[in-house]
Amino acid sequence: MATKSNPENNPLKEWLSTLPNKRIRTLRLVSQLTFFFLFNGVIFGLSRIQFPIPVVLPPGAPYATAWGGFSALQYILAVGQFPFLVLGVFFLTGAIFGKLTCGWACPVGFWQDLLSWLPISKIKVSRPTNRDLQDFSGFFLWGSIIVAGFFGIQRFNGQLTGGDFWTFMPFDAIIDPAGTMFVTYFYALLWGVFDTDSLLDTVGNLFLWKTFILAIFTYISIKVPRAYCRWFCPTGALLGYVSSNSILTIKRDPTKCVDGCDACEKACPTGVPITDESTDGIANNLCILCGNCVDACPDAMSFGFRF
Amino acid sequence: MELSLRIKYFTFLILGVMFIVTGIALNELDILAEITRGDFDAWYDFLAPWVGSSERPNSQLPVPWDQ
Repeated sequence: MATKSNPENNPLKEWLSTLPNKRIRTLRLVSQLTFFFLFNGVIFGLSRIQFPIPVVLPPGAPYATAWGGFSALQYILAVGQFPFLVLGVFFLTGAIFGKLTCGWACPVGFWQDLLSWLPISKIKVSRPTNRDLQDFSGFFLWGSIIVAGFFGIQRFNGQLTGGDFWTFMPFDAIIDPAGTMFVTYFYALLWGVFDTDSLLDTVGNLFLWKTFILAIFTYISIKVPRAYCRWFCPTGALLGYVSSNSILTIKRDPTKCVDGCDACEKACPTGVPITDESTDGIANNLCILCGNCVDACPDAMSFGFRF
Repeated sequence: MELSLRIKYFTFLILGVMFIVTGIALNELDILAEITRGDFDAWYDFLAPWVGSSERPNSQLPVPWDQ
């Protein structure tokens, strides 16, 4: 006679109950995949719109359906106009959604999430180091603005016409690893740069430099989750000036916290010191509203609004 | 409730709307449209240093942004 299995003694169920809750992570993965294909939607016949969005999306990307916000900012500045439109987009989205686009939509953030899943040991970064290294992103942000602005003034005064591409988008041209992945390598393959007996004679020094930079950022992002977002991304740095004051936020209910528990902080991919944050909501420009902390502790952590 | 934080995001909301309207009025969308026109040579000149090729390729190669 067959016996009915008791679900309370089901080993599979017991094993599943030990796994962390990943509902938001799954939703985010679906969102990241959707936006990845949407942002590269020209390949599916979508039209390109000339509008800046607050994610990393190089304008030279062959199938890109929009402009990455920081690329647009540099370009408008470099042709001699103040980038009202781009700043407006960053201010508006940052004030409402914070850095939600970094966590849920940005292709480069998605790339780093994929890298962080590689089963390679991670480096734990102390809070002061995590904070100090953010200065790099500010350096890239303001350095690029100053360079693009310098050439913008020259073009505005008629002292410069045309110019090399790096004078229009200095960060994209010289540093941006997204440009290397989505633009440089694509056209290098398409235009047959690699189809030569003497590759090193064909590719320029800039190509080698950008490949080197991409390799460095890739390695760091494997060892430290979201390292590029935390410390180097000028798009995130610009959004970060607004995002810490966003309406949408993540809140912690300290009455439901257990002494000594830091599960939320351990789950955070950008190293936000969540337990030090106000109960009014996280006001840290590193927070990308990914929801990993909510997954880690759904009792105490939740998405909320600061009205 | 932190009032200063609300004042900040409210300020950014207003500034954001004003800047977007100003940017559109100053034809910044047209500036962005300039660089994505279907001009293969302009794009090649722009991207060549990025890519590293020193020779101009066949102009019949696909230009996906123009589709």
